[in-house]
Amino acid sequence: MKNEVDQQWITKAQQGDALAFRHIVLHYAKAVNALAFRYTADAQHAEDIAQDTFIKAFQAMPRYRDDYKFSTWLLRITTNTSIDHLRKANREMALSLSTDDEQIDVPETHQIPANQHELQDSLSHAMSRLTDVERLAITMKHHQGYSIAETAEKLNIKSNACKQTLFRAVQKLRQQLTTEVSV
Amino acid sequence: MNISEEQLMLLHMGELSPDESRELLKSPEVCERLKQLEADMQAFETQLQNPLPDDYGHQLWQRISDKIERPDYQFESPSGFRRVLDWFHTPQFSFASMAMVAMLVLTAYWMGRQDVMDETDFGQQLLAQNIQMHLTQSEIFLTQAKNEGLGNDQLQTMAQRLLTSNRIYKRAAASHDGQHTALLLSNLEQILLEYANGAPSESTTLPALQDKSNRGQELLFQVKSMKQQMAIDDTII
Repeated sequence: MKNEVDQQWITKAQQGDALAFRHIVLHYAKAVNALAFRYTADAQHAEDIAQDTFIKAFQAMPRYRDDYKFSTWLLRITTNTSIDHLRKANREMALSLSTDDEQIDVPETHQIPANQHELQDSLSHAMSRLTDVERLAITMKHHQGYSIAETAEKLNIKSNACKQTLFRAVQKLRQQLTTEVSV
Repeated sequence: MNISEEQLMLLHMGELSPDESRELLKSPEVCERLKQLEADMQAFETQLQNPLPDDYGHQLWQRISDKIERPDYQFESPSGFRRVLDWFHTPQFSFASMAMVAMLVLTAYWMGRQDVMDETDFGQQLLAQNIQMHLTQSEIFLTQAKNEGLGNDQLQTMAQRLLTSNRIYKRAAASHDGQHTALLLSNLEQILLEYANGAPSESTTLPALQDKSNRGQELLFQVKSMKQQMAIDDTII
């Protein structure tokens, strides 16, 4: 996350100043959208979540306390909104947990991306092949730094199930990606 | 050392205990596999992006600005001062506001005048009390002079002292519109002047002594009357 927004905008926005909140939106818009995109692997969903996140954030501004960073607070709203959004989008998260035994349909061999653009497409494709729960779990754990226990609680699943979900997600992603590492 | 994929993932995510992690990391093979895993995850971390235009923040604000509503509980009751200020800014109350301000100015002016008047009254009372004291001393002097209880030198000294204060009080009474008081003090001044100059002892003719005695009696009566009058309400008449 880039530098935090100036405290004065937060204070004014807490008092209901919409123009001050505009500064906050301009400052964090891309970060919120990027996280939403990681959760959904879908640009349209990410856009909807970003909008909902900021609308909810404005209404919740009076409850924000500076015990932790504003960006942390805002991205937690993004996470919760993403989970709600995927549930509402009728993507059966529970069903995805029952696909443990399904064979992962991933090509065993693939080309090393020729350039950055291809690499990004490949990664986006890999993410989109994850189930919603897997994508949420791997993003919360790896990108947002939630513990397994916290991730499990947020997704309303058991800790062991969360570990399995994470494991499957990592496996799927790695099967999609070939990375050369120089030793 | 053999390590399962799941363990490797937990090691990467920091979910193993420090002892377990330390034990696993002793193996070069584990280190190599962990490095590969970290590189893969880092690729996702850095490369997975949703391309957004530079002015995405502005676009997003345009889409949500009309949806943003301030929750009711955010409204705070304005302070008393703010309410008064708002009231003055309300057009329909502008005339009433102007009238109220005018009334306040008039009230302040009236109160200011009252203070001045009060101060004047206080000064007059103070002067009246001092004149009363002066009249008491003058009464004693006139009584002594009438009864010839003191020697001429003592009467002269006393008259000289009273004469000085009498002139001051006479001027003060005149400036406070105390015509009667000023007249009395003026008459008193003549008697005091005569005694201060040692005149009584030199006035040896009988008519002159008789006249002075009569004037002294009359003045003594006036002084007593004036004292009683001033003692009632401490005003100078």
